[in-house]
Amino acid sequence: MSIAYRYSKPSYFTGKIYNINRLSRTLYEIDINIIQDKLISLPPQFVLVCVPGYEAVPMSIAVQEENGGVIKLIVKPVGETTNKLVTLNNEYIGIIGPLGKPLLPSGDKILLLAGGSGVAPMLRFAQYYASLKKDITFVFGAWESDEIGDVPGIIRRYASEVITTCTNGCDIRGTVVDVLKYGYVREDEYDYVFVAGPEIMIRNIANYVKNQYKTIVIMERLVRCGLGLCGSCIISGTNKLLCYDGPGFVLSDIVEVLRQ
Amino acid sequence: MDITLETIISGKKLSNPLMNASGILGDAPDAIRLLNSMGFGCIVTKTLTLRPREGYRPPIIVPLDYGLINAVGLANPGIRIGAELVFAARNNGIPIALSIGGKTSKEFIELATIAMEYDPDFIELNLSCPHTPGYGIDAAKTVKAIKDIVCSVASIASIPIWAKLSFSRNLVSEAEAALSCGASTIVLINTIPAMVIDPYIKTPILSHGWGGLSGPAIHPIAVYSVYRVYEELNAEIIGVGGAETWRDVIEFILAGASAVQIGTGLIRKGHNIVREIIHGIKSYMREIGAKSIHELIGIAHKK
Ligand SMILES: Cc1cc2nc3c(=O)[nH]c(=O)nc-3n(C[C@H](O)[C@H](O)[C@H](O)COP(=O)(O)O)c2cc1C
Ligand code: FES
Repeated sequence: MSIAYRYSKPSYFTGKIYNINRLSRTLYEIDINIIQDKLISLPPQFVLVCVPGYEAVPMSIAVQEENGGVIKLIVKPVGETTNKLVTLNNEYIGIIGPLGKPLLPSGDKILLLAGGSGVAPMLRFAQYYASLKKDITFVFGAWESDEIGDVPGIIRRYASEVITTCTNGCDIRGTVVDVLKYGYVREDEYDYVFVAGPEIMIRNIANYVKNQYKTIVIMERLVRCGLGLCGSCIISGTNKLLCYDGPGFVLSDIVEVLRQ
Repeated sequence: MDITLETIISGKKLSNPLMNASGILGDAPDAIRLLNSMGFGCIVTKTLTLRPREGYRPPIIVPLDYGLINAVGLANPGIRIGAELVFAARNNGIPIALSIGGKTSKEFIELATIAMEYDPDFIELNLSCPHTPGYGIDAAKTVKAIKDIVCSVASIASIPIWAKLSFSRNLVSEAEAALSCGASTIVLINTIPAMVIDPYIKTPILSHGWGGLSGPAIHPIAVYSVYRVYEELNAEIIGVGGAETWRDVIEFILAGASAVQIGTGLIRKGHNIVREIIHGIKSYMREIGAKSIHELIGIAHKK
């Protein structure tokens, strides 16, 4: 079975934010109407969100509704621009996208590993594979339980099994890597493993997983143009551009960068 | 007989007439390797300035149906990176042009002096960036200013100098001034000043306000510019502006270009664009019975 493998050309859209909801101590969900248009994307494509008077910041598309007429972002405010963004309910913003390439291997059992704001691209994979009726296990980790908050409620819309990890008060005490290390889930029972989160977490998982051809990692680098022109997002040591070749990579393609 | 795509620029043989346009990657050794892997016959660096520049805050590029508008603000690591860039190109066996941009002829001399230490194959003078106050069209505002810059650099340079200009009503006099000072080659054209406004937010989209338009929208303007300068001055020319297919490249060559640079096409068509264009040019040459690029240059002028 195949679904339409279709996504828009990178373009500029105006969006109107119609819902902002604080999910946890650190994460917000932001729902955006793409005005009089559709921004059709496939995971793990991302957008540049232009906050008027501030900067344009790269954001994963976490959920796509109404065939691209509505998108959901999961935002962790860290700087001036993202802190402003989470106050802009009912305001207009600019959106440039979709950026990057889809990376959608086929498999029946999918394991998604997310740390912190890495939950955003993992949600989009969950939504995609759920639409194909695949079996999805979703691990979501953070340091403290108040960073987990209501996020699992959104994840459960798509994933059959949800496991949370943190230092205290989650399903498992520990980190996302510990879930693999201590056998709570077994990597080899899945057709593909997807990972997104802080680079240190990605490195730990890269060092741990056995099958680097069946592991997909979502990388982060400084994105300025988002279109493969300025070179700011180059994954040094390779000749790959995050915004053009990524942001998802098969681990075997960049393993030298991650395993040290 | 075999078809050859070799072309000669400033007396130097290039394996094919395609190069990247300045500002498209080309400011780090990894990026030079990436450009080399695409199959270009020559690489052009990002325009380098005396000191590193951060450039403008994003958004710095807006994609449009007909091209791009950019205001990157000449972000670059500074001229000293030139050593590593030339080294990376040498290691990959590909010729390289260092693009330099100064605010005054004095800065240009300083930049060219440093650039020559690195021994690139060519030096491209950016006389035409439209969105960075003090640089580009600001530094090269008049025919006199262009003369001043090109003559100063040429007087000390032992490496061929390319003068990169933008479209203007004085295009032919500007090109003439650059050639009379000793520029070997004219590069035509840079982006054209442009702006896009969001109708709901009601402000310009780029953080800088205005920027430069590139891509298919400017291609016919670029072809016209090449045609005019070739017709009036019989100059050696590198065409740039909206080249995305073999037809666009051949148009430039028939108008008088000896080589063609590609910028925006790399993102609109993808990194395979060079191989696709080379394939298309070969089929075209086979079809019309041409054996070399040389025999096609400027033939649109012959009645
Ligand atoms: C993102 C971007 C950055 C650019 N930076 C430079 C630059 O540093 N120096 C320069 O001479 N031209 C620069 N240009 C202009 C290009 O070299 C080229 O002249 C112009 O884009 C037209 O070619 P195209 O339509 O193939 O892109 C830049 C263009 C773009 C799109
Ligand atoms: S952000 Fe400019 S090349 Fe990727």
